[in-house]
Amino acid sequence: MNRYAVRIGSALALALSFQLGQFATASAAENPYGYDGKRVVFETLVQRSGGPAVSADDPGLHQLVRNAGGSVTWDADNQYVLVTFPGPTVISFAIGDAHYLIGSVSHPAAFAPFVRDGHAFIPLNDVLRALKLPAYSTAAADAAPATSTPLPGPVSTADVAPAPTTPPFATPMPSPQPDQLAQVTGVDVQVQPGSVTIRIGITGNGAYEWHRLRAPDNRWWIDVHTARLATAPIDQNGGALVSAVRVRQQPADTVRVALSLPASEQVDVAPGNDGITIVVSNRIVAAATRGSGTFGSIATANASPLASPAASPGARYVPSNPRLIVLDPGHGGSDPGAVRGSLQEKMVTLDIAKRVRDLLVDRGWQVVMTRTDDRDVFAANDSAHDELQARDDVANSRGARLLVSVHVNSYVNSGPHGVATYYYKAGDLALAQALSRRIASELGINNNGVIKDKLYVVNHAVMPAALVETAYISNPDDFALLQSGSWRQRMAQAIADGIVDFTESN
Amino acid sequence: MRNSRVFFLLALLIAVAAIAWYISSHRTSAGEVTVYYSKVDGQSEIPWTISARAQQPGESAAAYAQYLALYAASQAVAGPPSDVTAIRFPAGTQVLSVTVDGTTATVNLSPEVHHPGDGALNESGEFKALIWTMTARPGIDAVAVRVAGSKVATLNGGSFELDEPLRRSDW
Ligand SMILES: [Zn+2]
Repeated sequence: MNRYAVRIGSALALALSFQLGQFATASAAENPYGYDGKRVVFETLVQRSGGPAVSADDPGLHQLVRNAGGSVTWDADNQYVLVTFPGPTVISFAIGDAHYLIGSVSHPAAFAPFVRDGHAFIPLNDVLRALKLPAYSTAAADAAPATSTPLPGPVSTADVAPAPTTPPFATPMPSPQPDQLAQVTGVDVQVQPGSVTIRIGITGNGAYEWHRLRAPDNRWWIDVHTARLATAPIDQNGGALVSAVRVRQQPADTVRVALSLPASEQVDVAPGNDGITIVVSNRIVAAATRGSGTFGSIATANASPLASPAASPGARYVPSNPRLIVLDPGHGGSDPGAVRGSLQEKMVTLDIAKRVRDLLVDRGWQVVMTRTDDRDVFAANDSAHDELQARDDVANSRGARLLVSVHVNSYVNSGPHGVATYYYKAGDLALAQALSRRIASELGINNNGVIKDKLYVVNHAVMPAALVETAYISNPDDFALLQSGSWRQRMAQAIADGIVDFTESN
Repeated sequence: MRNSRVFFLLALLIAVAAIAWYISSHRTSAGEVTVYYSKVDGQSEIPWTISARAQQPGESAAAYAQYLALYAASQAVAGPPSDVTAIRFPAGTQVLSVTVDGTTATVNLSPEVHHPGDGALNESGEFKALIWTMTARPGIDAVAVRVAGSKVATLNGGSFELDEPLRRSDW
C-alpha cells in the first residue's frame, strides 16, 4: 500500500470512528478552507456554540500547521494539545480550559477544548488566529456549497440527527449532592524573594490532581475534584515567578487553579487539613509532570515522574540510569569524516572516546560507546538520518545521564584552529560549558568556546548532550596535535573532567 | 497669529520628513536585497546590500517578491565578493529553486552542497548566512532546505540538521 493510500485510509478510519461514536462530522467535500491560494480540508469539524471545533488528529489541521513550519501534538496523558513551532513558539490548549496560551500569554478561547472518543477537539478559529490566518467559515471556503445553517461552518450531522439528550459537558456520573462537595473558599497568594506561596483554602475532604506542561509552555494547574468554588472566579498576579493565578469552577464538580509560569520553576504541592499549599520556587529542578493526592483529614500526596525521557523533551530530564555516560565517537565505517593524508577523523574520535571511557570507568562510571571499533553504528552507507539517530538511540534507550559526541573539525583553508564545544537544547548548555572550561584550562589550545548549533546528534538526544570539535585537521598546528597520543590523552582527560564537573553540579 | 504660523511650519516639517522617510524606505526595499555572510569566527553575520532589478510593468507584487527571494538566496549561496573572507558554500553549489509558502521559504540546493568532511564551522556558517538572508525578506521567518529536491537529515557525512525549517533562533 502506498503512503497516499495509508493516509486516506487513516483519515477514513478517523471519520468513521467519529460516526460510530454518534459524533458530528462533516464530509470532507463540504468544508474546504482556502488561504494564501491554498486549500485545506478539515475532516473532523464539529460545530460548537463558540465556533468550529477540529480534532487534533485532523489531517487538514496537520497539513495547515505543517505548512507554517509547525506540528500538532495531543498528549492524552496530560490532557493538552500543543501546536509547536521551532522558534520555539508554542500554542497550548488544555482540555477543559477556556483559555489558550501563546507562549506564556493567555487568550480567551472560543470554547474549552474537549475530548470525544479519545480525540481532543480544539477551537479551529483560535488556531487560525494564532497563525494569523483568516477565520474559518463557509463563506471563506470558496468551493463549499451554500448551507442553510446560520452558524459559521458546515452543516454537521448533529444538526439533522436527533438532539443529544445530554449537553456536551454533561457529567457522565451522577453528581454528588451539594453537601458532599468540598468548598474552595479562596486563594491567598504570598510573594517572597525567590518563591511564591499559594494557599488554596478548602473545607471538606477530597482528591486533587495536578499537571504541568513541558517547557517552553510551563503552564501548571491543579484540579480539585468533587468541589465547588464558593467565590466568584479569581484572577490574581503572583509577581515575577507566577505571571497569573486563575481559579475557575469547571464542569464535573471540579475547581481548577491554573498558574502561568514564565519558566519551568519547581512547584511543590502540600495537601493539608484546610486545603492545599502550592510553593513555586525559582529552582529549576522539576522532575514530574503530574501528581495527585487527597486533602482534608485524609491528606496524602504523590507525584509521578516522567513516563519516559522521550515523552517530554523540553522538560527537565530525569535519567533512568544516572550513572551511565554515553560517548559517541563521530563517523566510522563507511564514513571517514574529515581526512588529511592518512589521518582520518573516525580513527581520532574513536581513540579519544576510548580514552575518555577508560578515565570515567576508573572513576566508577558506567560508560557505553556508540561504537568501539571502526564501523557504522546503523549500517554501511546508510543515510545520515539513520546513522545519527542510531547514535542517539544508544543513549535514549538506556536513559543515560548525558551524551558527549567527539569530532574533529575541518575547514577549506588552514586559518581556523582550536577547539569548540557545541550545544543546541537549553539543557545542553551547562554540559557544554563544563566541558569547555576544562578544555580551556587543561589544554591551553585556542578555545573557540561554547557555540549553539543545530547538530542532529545533540538535538535528538533527550538528555543533556554536547559535541566537541577537538581541533582542526585543516590547520597544520592542530593537525600535529591530533597525531599526538599524549595530546589526545590530555583532551580525553579534559572531557572526562568536564563530564564529572557537570554531574557534580547538575 | 504667530503661534499658528509656527504650528503650520512645524506641521509642514513633519509632513516633509514623513514623505522623505516613506520614499527612502520604499525605495530601498524595491530594488535592493540584503544578503548576509558568515565571518570565519562562526559567530558573526555581516549584512551587505546588493541592487536587484526593479519591478517590471505588469509584474505582480507576488511575482516580484518571488524573484527577490530567489535572487537573495542565490546571492547568499554565491557569497560576498572573493576578496571578502567569509564561510562559503562548496564551489558549484547553486540555488535550483525558491518557493515561499506562508512564512516559510523552501530553498532547493544543487547536490554540490554535499561536501563530506566539512566540519561544524563550515556547515553551520553556510546555512546561517542563507537563513539570515532569507528571513530578512518581509514575511519570511523560516527556511526549509532541500537538496536536489529532497529533504535530508544532514548533508552527507555532516552533522548540521536540515530536516526541519530553520530559523534564526536555531543559532
Ligand atoms: Zn565530524
